[in-house]
Amino acid sequence: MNLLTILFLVTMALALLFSSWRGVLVALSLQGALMACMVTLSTDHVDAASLVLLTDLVLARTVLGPSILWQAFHARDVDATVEMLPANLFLWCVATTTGVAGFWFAARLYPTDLAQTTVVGAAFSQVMLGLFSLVYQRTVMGQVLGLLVIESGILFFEVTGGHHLPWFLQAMVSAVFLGLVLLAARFSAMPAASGVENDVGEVL
Amino acid sequence: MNAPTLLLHALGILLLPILLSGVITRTKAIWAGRKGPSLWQTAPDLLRLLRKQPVYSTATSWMFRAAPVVVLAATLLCALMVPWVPGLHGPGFEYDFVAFAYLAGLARMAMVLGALDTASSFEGMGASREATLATVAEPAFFLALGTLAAMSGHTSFQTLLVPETPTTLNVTLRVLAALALFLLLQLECGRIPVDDPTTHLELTMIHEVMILDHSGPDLAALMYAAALKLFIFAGLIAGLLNPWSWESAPLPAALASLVGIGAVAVAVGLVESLVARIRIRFIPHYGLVAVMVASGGTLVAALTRGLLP
Repeated sequence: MNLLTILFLVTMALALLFSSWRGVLVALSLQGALMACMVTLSTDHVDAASLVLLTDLVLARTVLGPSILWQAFHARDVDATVEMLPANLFLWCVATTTGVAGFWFAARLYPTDLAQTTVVGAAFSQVMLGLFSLVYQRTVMGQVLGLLVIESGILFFEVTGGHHLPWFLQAMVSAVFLGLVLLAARFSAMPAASGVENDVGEVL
Repeated sequence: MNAPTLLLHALGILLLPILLSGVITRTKAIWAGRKGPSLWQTAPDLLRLLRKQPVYSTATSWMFRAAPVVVLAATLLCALMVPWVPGLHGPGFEYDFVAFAYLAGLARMAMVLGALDTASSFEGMGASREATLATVAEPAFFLALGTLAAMSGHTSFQTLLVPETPTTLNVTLRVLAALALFLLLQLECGRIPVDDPTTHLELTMIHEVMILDHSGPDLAALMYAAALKLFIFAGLIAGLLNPWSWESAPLPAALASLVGIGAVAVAVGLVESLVARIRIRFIPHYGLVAVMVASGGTLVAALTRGLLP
């Protein structure tokens, strides 16, 4: 489990450092696959809830979600560069401090459980990264990616916490995720407002 | 919880939001050199609206009519959960602050859908802004209360707000959480510098634009729900900083909470008198400040491991 958590952190760094929407989508897809591995390893007996969760992780998060968005952004020929964190030293310092504080805080909560410390710290960092992205991105594409990063962080926390939702609730969560992805893809396919090139519009 | 306590809690929920709005208006009036309306002015305003016949556009559906009811019901449930005096509250359970956030989300969703149902691009713009801001406000709320819950081991409003032994760490965490909640109050309740509740300029409106088509009792319900939301956040802030609890010292605890809620109202009024609205594209950044203040608690707790009691 620790190796998988570390790999999850590596994929987060991938999304952060590559500065491209393709990099973020690949990272999200890899995170879905890693979480599916975690569920497979930690499930003792297969029931409806774990099956629906696995289907959600493999089909929706690993394959469908990222590929639908990839096709939509590719068809729209949007700018390849998406900086999850703007190139600003102050902002990077704040984000790094927040991420490290998440790990230290987790260490204070679970002083003898390194695995749980890593999990809480990773989930916290991922959610904060998504939040920073959500605030600083002004395009719909950037905000959708930020939202999906937050979503992935919350799901990671749930999956590693061992708490599974009833199968029908998990199915609804999966449906909401796919609905969000389809809506974002549909919205990004709409013609841009005049004067906005290679962009899927600005919010606010 | 016995009947008199429940009655006091219900009375607070019924009357204090009206008084709170009055204190904010009076503070702004005094700062502007005017006498201002009565502290209870919101009450006759609401009664006047309740006597009026609502007007519905033919373009709207049942969603538009249901929205004010859902908003008011969900906000009332939130108010029942949150004690305005530490230890004094209605239904409480483990992790009720998570249910609180979901109920607030339900109210927001109903408000947004009601605005979209009018098919007015103007109201749609306000709905879009409201939904966008919620994505920043909710993490700040969870971070502020989650840090407190994780450090204290308490997971419901009933125990979370009750004062503990005043250690340096406890006090710091509570002050930071209260500060984050004050910023959230401005974000969630549409107050300056985030939104101006008195403006009618389409480029700057968020909350007010979504209720433009409502009238009569529906508008009264939405106005009361807005005042109630303000009261909930003010009550939470006052509760976090209250040195007494209802169980140990009922009268000092109630008085301290009343003073605290009044102080929050005066602070909101002063900010509205002294600070200009920030540009709408920078409002999410303001939300990020709330998140940063809330995560300041996490940082303090993490850095002072072994240093502070």
